[in-house]
Amino acid sequence: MKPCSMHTSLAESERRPAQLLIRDLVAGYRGIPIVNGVTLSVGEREVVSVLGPNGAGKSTLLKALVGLLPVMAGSIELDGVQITNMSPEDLVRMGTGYVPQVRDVFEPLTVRENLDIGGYLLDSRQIKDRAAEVLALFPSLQRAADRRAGTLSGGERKMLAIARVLMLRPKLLILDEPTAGLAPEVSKRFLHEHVRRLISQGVSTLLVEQRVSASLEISDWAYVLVTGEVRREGRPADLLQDREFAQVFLGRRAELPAIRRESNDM
Amino acid sequence: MDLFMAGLGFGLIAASIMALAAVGFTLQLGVADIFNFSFGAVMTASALAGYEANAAGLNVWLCLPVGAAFGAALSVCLNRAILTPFMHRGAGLFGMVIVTLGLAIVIQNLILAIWGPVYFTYQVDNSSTVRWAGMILTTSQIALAACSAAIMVVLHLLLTKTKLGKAMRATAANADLARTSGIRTSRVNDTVWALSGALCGLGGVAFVINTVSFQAATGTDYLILVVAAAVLGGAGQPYGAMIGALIVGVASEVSATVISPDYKDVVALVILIGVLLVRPRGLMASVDLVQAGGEETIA
Ligand SMILES: Nc1ncnc2c1ncn2[C@@H]1O[C@H](COP(=O)(O)OP(=O)(O)O)[C@@H](O)[C@H]1O
Ligand SMILES: [Mg+2]
Repeated sequence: MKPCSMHTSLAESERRPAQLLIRDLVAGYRGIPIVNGVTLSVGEREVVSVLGPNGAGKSTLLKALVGLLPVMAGSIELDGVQITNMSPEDLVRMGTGYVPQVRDVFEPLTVRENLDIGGYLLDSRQIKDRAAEVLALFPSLQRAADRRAGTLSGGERKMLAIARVLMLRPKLLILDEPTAGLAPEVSKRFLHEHVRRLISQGVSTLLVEQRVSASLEISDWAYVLVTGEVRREGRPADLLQDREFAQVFLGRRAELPAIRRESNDM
Repeated sequence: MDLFMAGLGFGLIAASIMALAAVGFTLQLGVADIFNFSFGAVMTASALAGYEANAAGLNVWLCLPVGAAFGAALSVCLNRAILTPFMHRGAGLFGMVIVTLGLAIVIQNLILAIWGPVYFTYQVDNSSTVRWAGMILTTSQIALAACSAAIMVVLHLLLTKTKLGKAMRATAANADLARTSGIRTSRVNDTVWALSGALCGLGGVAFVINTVSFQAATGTDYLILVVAAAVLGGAGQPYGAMIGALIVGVASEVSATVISPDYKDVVALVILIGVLLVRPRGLMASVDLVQAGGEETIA
């Protein structure tokens, strides 16, 4: 790995205190590691992006983080509490809110029922009040409140997926490619309006994205994951200065497999 | 025409009883992902529990809750002791078919071994009949249909209005997402087995109150019609199962009176195949409560 250590550590010292701290995480499927020793952190009220080509292991990393996949080695801390290998049911109670890449809503349930399930840990009076608050953030969902989630458009569906996890006021939002399938302009607006804006409400966000420039715009820090390992990290502005990063992600985004070849030379 | 109307009357009764079983069966399919071939045997065992209670002097109508409780308890136990362990060891949908088929054979033969190859008969008072529009029904048949309809309404309210019901549907639709929403899906699963087992037991006792007698293989034989109803409506879909039961129940009884009772199962299966040719996921697959005809619908 090419060291850019001085540069990084200076910026690093300006980061906020870590809310989420993942150390040397190894995770995969049926005992075969996909994520190989990843260390990353999300500071309080930061948006942190994880970028990387298809198949890099970004979704696998998030699934291990939220307890859907076993952690094979390493540790995860949330607000100083060990949460390694905690069950998904208990992790929600610790304040995580996870939106998966696919299968992100309950399709046969209506929009309102999806929100009810999002607020499963609240009592019914609170669910009603909170659903009204959350729907106010997403006017187009409000109009679709009684429709089945499976019939929503791609954009509405992602809004519902995020609205659903906001029901519990998570302190850490974990989003897996929230703009996949949305048009570029829509995704950009979506990230600014619906992801960045949440920071003002005290939510930290770990964001996995394919849309590199749009997600860097709203991020405080970013990691580049390639074949299960962190290859680069830094402030978005510094990463954009990085020639290799810019070339790989901004110049030739359509030819993502090229990244693997180049990263092997590093 | 008279014959047809008489058949229709019997068909509506048969459908209301079948709906109990078909909804129970489809809930297991939808939420637990198990195509449970031991469902019919559990129906028989529950009917037997009802029989013993009846023989001990309990009014036949009170045997319905007895059968429901027995079916619920037996289903939860079978799931915990046998089905879940197999699932955890990675048995797939077809592996589980073999496991539940095996279970059906074991239960059926246990009944044979203990009680022998006999016909069990309930004490039902069928003396009073009601005639209406060519239908001739006993009052107990009408009471059964009313019970079943009431249970379907309660079930609808449970699934759509209560937190537990929504949690069941969420678990069926997407178990991982349900867990990341805080739902303890293993508990929801237990509840589903209790509920579907209760429906199974109710179906078993109600079936025998209607036909009066049964033997060790009755439930398993009946399962063909129950499966046809459940799959016809859309595997895993409760409203689908109700509609499937209505179609299969009426068609099989009308054909039994108009053609011959031998063709009951054949008619049901022909309808099933016909519907699946046109709508491979069943009638209600895209509009029902539990699964939105997504990638995980089973049949
Ligand atoms: N359910 C699974 N079982 C086995 N391997 C999987 C599974 N899901 C993903 N993988 C493998 O893990 C690797 C990383 O996948 P993923 O984490 O989804 O990547 P990304 O989200 O970065 O595109 C891929 O090579 C993929 O084939
Ligand atoms: Mg992914």
